[in-house]
Amino acid sequence: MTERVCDRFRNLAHADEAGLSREELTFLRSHAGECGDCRRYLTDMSLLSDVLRSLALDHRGDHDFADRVEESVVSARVLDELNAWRPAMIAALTTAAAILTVLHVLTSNPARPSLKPTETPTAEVNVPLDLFEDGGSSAPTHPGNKG
Amino acid sequence: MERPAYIPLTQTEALDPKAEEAQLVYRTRQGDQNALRELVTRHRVRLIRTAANVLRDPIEAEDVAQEAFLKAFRELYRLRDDRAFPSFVYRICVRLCVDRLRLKRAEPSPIEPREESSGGSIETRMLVERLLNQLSPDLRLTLVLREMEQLSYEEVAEAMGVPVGTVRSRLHTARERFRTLWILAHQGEE
Repeated sequence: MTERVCDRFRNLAHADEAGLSREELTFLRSHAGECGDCRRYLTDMSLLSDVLRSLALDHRGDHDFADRVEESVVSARVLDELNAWRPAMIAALTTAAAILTVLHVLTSNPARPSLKPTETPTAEVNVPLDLFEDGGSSAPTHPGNKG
Repeated sequence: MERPAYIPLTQTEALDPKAEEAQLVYRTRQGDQNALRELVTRHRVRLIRTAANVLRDPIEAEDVAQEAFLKAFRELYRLRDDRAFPSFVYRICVRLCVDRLRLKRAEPSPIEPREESSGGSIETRMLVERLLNQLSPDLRLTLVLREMEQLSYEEVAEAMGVPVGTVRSRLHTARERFRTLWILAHQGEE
């Protein structure tokens, strides 16, 4: 028997039977019938599985187990911590929500300051016309005052 | 404003064990010790039995199970779905078992025969425990959860927090290694 076929057999032998296709199950059966080594391998695996299952412990713990857990939880003040954590969490969430609201308002306001080059300044500079000798005809014009 | 001690279950919820579980977790969060006790009573057998099988030591298993409950209650805030408490506490227990196994591997100690427990001769039991000790913690845990606890591949994957494919390959390796060790042990006896 080729090594590759035996490898495939051993790989499939460890898979969950429920997850195998019909073709794979047929292959397992037929190969076990043909290959003595793989048949022995399967028998070994099945035996080991039985040994492990037979040695499973069914220890369920002492009757006072629940008491001991309860005591340890109480002495570690776990329940107090759980109750303390809740208001702290609510406070943190409220703060986070407030910060997010402020950020949202700031970023969505259309009148916010911007450095975009397409926008023109809206403020005007009033320069007294009599500062110029020709009465203002050569006064520099502000881009906003054109026309 | 004070919250009620518990929210009464509707008729449908009362029939649903998961809803009941969620209710107990909710009450525990509110500081209800009776609910906490009920959760411990419900899940202790599964945790102790698994820990005993993984660690092969009933006394240590109880310690680990107790630690698992304590850790689970302390970390209840991490539980997003209260109905998932059983798998949450079980996963914690399994992780603590692996930690113990890693510590034990770092400080190997001789295995002593234990008188109590189930079937199998003492010699076989001692041999199996010796062989299990020679597997890495992850391989040992996978083998025990599948063979002794008889969990499905999906359940093992969930308990160990790994994909099903990883469980399959670990199980393959663990069984192969266990078989080799078993054969070697019996050849040594002959």
